[in-house]
Amino acid sequence: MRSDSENLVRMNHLKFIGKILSVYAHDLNNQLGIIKEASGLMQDIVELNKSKDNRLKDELAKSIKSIHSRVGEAAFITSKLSAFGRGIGGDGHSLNINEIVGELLVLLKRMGDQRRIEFVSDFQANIATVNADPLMLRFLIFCLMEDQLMRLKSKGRLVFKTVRSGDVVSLTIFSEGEVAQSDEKRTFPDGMAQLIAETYGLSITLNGRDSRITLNL
Amino acid sequence: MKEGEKDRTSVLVVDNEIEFASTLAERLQMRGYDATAVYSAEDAFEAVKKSLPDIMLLDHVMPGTSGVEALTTMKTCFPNVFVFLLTGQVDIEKELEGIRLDNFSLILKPVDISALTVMIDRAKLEMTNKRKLQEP
Repeated sequence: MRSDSENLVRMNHLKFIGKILSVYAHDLNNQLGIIKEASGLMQDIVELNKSKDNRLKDELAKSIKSIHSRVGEAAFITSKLSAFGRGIGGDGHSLNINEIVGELLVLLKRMGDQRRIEFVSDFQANIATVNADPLMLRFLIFCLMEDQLMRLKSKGRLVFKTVRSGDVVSLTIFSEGEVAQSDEKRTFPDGMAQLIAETYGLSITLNGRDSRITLNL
Repeated sequence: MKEGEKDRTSVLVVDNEIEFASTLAERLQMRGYDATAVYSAEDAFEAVKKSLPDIMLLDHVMPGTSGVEALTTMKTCFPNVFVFLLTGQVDIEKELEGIRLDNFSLILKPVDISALTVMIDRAKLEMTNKRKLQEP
């Protein structure tokens, strides 16, 4: 068991990592912006000036399109990394669960891709903000998501649904598709998720019938 | 928007990344805009004092000042310039809470030129309509 001072140091280390991540993401985004404009200028030259060599023009246009597309993807992931870095270093006031889950789904998409599992978001629009430890909330959602992901066989879907009911904002994670692990022996999400929830006063419920995990905030 | 009308839309690009700002200005020029680039908030202020642009594309993070500071100053001194704040931050709205801003919008970097020109044209039209309503 860690002491309070050890925990404080650990939290500050993680906030430091968050700062580094957000600065890195900002710098990378700047570079991508320059590459995008430079390749865009090449595209303009091809498209706005009529070239007689159509073959060369087509090849150039194809390469430029590919660069543009990849830069766009990289920039999108980078913007989520930036939000993640800034988020875990934040003060925890007014967290938007839709933004946090959306950010994690982009950053962790590769985990789903590797197992051929699609992430599906079903977010309630204009959902109320919540107060929670920003780092621990993200970590808890990650634990719950990983727990659900590991149960599923490939080609399944993992659905993330947010709902506001009265003063409670909830996130429910459930799977669609064939499960790899038997649900009969399942009693609760993994131990780390339970520990975080207990420590930070968050409520998690598991519906045994279809293994829906609901986090109430 | 017609080409002739586009010619009259002046755009000032403000970003300390010289290559980014100058290339973006060049691409806007190729599309018929009267675009120029400056590379600091101070130079932007001087440029606007000399000649009021229709549109300003202002970078969010620049050395020596935050884009929000520069934005607030710019909007106080030149409220009739439509300002687009260019940012890589998806959660910037929180920084802008409590600041009353007219003739303003956010654009996420990297910029998509087609989307940008649509937004510039729309902003120009909005400003023109506002001026018409204010005329006696």
